Amino acid sequence: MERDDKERQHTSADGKAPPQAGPAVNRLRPWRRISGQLTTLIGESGFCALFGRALRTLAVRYDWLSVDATRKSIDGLLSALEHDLAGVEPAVADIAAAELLNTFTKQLSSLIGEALTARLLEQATAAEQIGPEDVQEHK
Amino acid sequence: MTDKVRLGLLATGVPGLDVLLGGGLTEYSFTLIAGAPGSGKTTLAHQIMFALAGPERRALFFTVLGEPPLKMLRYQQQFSFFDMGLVGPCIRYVNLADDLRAGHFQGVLERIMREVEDFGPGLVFVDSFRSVMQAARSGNEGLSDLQAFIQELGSRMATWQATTFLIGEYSQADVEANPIITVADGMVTLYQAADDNSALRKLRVNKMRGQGHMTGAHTMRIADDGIRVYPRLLPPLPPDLVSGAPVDRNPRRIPTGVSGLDELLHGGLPQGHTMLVSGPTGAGKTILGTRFLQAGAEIGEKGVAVFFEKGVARLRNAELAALVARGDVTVIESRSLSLSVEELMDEMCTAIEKTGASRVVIDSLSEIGLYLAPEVRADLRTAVFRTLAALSQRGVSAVVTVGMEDDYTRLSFSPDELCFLTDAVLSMRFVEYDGELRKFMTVVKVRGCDHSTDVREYTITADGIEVDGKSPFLNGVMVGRPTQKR
Repeated sequence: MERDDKERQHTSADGKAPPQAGPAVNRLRPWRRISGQLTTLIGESGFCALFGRALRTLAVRYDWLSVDATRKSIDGLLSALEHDLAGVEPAVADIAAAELLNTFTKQLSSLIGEALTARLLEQATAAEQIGPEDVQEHK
Repeated sequence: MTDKVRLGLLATGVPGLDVLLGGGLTEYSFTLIAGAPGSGKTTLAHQIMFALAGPERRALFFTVLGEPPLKMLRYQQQFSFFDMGLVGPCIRYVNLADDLRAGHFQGVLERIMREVEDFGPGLVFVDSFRSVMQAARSGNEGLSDLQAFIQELGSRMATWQATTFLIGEYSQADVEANPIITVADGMVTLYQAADDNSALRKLRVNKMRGQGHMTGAHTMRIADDGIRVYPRLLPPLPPDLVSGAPVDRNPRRIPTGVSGLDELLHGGLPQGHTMLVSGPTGAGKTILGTRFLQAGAEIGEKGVAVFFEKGVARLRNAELAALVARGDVTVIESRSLSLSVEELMDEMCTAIEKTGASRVVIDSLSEIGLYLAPEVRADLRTAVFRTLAALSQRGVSAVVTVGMEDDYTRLSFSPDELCFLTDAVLSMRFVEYDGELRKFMTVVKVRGCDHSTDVREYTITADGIEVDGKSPFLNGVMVGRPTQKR
């Protein structure tokens, strides 16, 4: 809990910041690519289950992350995340977004191994670098 | 020159399977891989996919409602054939669960086609198709729609020139009455033949259009390197034994490690021969086998010892342990009690090839039945026949022991008519005479070669087996009725 307290010191008094749509959207960009990549492999429900578990794990430390098991669509989950990230200090949002990605990656790695996870996410990153217009998403 | 279309054959990458298929898998064919859960369908599909996929022939693997894709990847990557480098550029996994849940085959078909057009695969796998069938039964669309769907899928994949596989949890009975089989060009069934708490994996090619495939069930095994199929075939004859090749009337003789026995054999065992050594417990069969390996080691010949005796007995064989420690002999011992003859042969032949061994001892055929799966045990003679054929094909010389427990009043040389399967037979007997249990041996046969027909007494000493140089003073020792010669 000490770590959570330190992290909260970086936020404003109520732990939240005015919504900032632009950066929050950028923070979601990797998720859109990863979800596109993984949905092909495990389906939307499979991705939502993995993402939901990572979110739940991280919500212990960032209690402003909303966890709702009834959300069954990628759009619904990412919209909620976008809203949550926009509601805190940008620095905290950046850290939380990075940790969420890290948690998700670790959990996926524990299932299919680091090598295959890296390979799959590498493809998502490659698609990211090419740009959204040049790559076909698989949903 | 012919204007008939030639069927391209693809090597499946599954050892033994191409032999069953009649040379390989037909290109652009539509094959059903059927079997109960746990029979190895997904592994077979993956092994074929990883063998065939590459930049020039990409693969699309559709998962439906069977094994969750992440679990499938988790387990399949344990096999050595799983090449991580192919995943992504050459192999793409696509999950159709959401499309199937939407409930329309047409939608599933369109999704498959979209992915096919996007990725341009030469190989398409759909795992598992049973779930598609179940969706048909529970949904609004009936079985005829499913058949139309499969027909359409087969037709589109053929047009796309994609070799296609449908994987499904079908039993043999399911499949025979199923419309899918009429659409499929090929069908491979996998199952586990259970008998007396033991199970052997089996693979059967039910159908393969346009090819003379092998029928019947063939043993297969799944190990770290994937599936290996063992066609029920004898190995090809060695070049010097094919019809028309000149017959060597004076094959090289090799020492057996028992000089008195070499005399009876007129110079030793003909190289490449298998000799059955039969006799009761305590007759010295294992000692003879060990001496045979020692004699080989002395002239630089490596050996393989296939032991079915109790492990402790082997540990007490200090001479064999010394041979093993020096690297002259490789010991093969099974801890499985559901052994197939194919696994035994595989392990033995691998050891022979790896070490360049020219001598093999199998000790003993009496205990082999304890290790074999019931199905194999029931046909011990065939199991021994196949094993000896594998040895003969490699030109190695072998001593095979077998225990005999009879009343010694009949001139019997082996149980289960095993003596007909070997080139040479050495019979060992006990005789009670003058308050003493004495040992005698005789060479019953050496195929194509001369040998002594004498019966000789022998003793087991610290130096091994010592054979008396002259005929015994007794008659009738081989039939348990010793009488002193006049």
